[in-house]
Amino acid sequence: MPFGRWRSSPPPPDADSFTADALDHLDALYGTALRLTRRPEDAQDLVQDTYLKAFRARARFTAGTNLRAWLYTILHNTWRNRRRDQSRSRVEADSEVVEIAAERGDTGGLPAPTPEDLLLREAMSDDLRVALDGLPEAFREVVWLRDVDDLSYQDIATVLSVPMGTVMSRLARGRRQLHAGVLAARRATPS
Amino acid sequence: MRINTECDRFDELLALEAEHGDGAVVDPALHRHLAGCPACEAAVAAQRAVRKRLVTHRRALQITAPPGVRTRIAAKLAGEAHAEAGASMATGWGLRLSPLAAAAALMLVITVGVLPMVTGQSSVVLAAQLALDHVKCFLIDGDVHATPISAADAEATMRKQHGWSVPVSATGGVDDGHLVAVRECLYSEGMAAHLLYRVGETPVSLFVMPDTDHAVASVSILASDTVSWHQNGRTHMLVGPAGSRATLDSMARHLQLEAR
Ligand SMILES: [Zn+2]
Ligand SMILES: [Zn+2]
Repeated sequence: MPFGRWRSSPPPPDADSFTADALDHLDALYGTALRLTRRPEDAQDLVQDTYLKAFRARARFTAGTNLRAWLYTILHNTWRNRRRDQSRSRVEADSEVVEIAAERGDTGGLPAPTPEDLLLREAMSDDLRVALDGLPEAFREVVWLRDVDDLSYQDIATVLSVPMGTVMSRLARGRRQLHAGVLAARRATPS
Repeated sequence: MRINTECDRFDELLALEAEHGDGAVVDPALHRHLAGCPACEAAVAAQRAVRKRLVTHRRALQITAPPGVRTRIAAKLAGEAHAEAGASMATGWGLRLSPLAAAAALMLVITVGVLPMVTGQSSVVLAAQLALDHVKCFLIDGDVHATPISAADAEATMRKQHGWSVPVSATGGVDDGHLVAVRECLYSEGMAAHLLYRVGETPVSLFVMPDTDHAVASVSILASDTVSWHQNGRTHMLVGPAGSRATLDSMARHLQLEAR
């Protein structure tokens, strides 16, 4: 019997290229996860979970569409589910509540900063980072996805599971708060 | 203070407006409003300033994932891909055999079918089943040019598929041996972990199964040599082509020592 003449059929042909393409967005996903979780270990865990889910669902990704936005959607969904599982989490989907709380300067029900958080924030001493860090999550994510990540309004609406109108109003309010925050940060630390 | 309802009407459009340079018209009605509303005008200016800074500092704002994260995730996904490939081959191998190979496999099935009556010895039956699987699996998954897989990858796969933590030897205990594939294979009593080795050019299989009461034996059957042993609550059987008994004996000795 001549062994080895028949090649084994390869794994699903897109597996390797999908992994390579998806890992191109690792830093962006990790940065997002760190902004959301505020703890490096939690961020790594969230990112790994996101990649596993994405890999298993890769057949549902439409080639040619925005892979980064698709990965962000999975990451944000995973994050929302995790927070929903924590009994004290707020109902993030209720945009009205988020908006009102945010105007009041509520930070979105996050736990008190740990020493690790403070260290992290110290490393972000730049006024822009400080101001971004101080934004409520709902606003910070929209501003980041639009102005730093350059996602379309439609992609942002999908990633965050909110209507386009909500994206636009959160973007407007988020940027205004960020502007005020930058000014405040400059006043606090004159350079 | 932006308090009037006229301002609210344009609230959402301000975000868009801030992304356009001066002079670009998002909405003529908005422009007329801005001309007469310092509050909205200021809100657009603030947004525009913030956006400009964010866009300018895009790169500086990005965080790099800690070292090791990429490697760990890549390894996880490779494990997923391997498990998927194993699952799809376990269910569809018959379709992938060439007609000649399928005919050969069918002949072996018929031969094995009459064996129990001939011998009446369960360990011989087990050897025959696994010798058949050995031939089949090397056809599917044991390409002579296959890239060796690491012991760690193989152990991870076994843990995933069987929930077994079995120490895997990357070489099969011999100098010129290397592991080329791990599969999950059906035999009459359940599922066996099937490790495919190449020792030089020679295909050798190691099957690991839950412990059985089969007698430990060296059996030559179906143009194959086999060696089996019990260790750590599991039954092990090595299968190689006829004439490979010396290699199998050497592997068995070393594998038993390594697993101790
Ligand atoms: Zn106005
Ligand atoms: Zn097999």
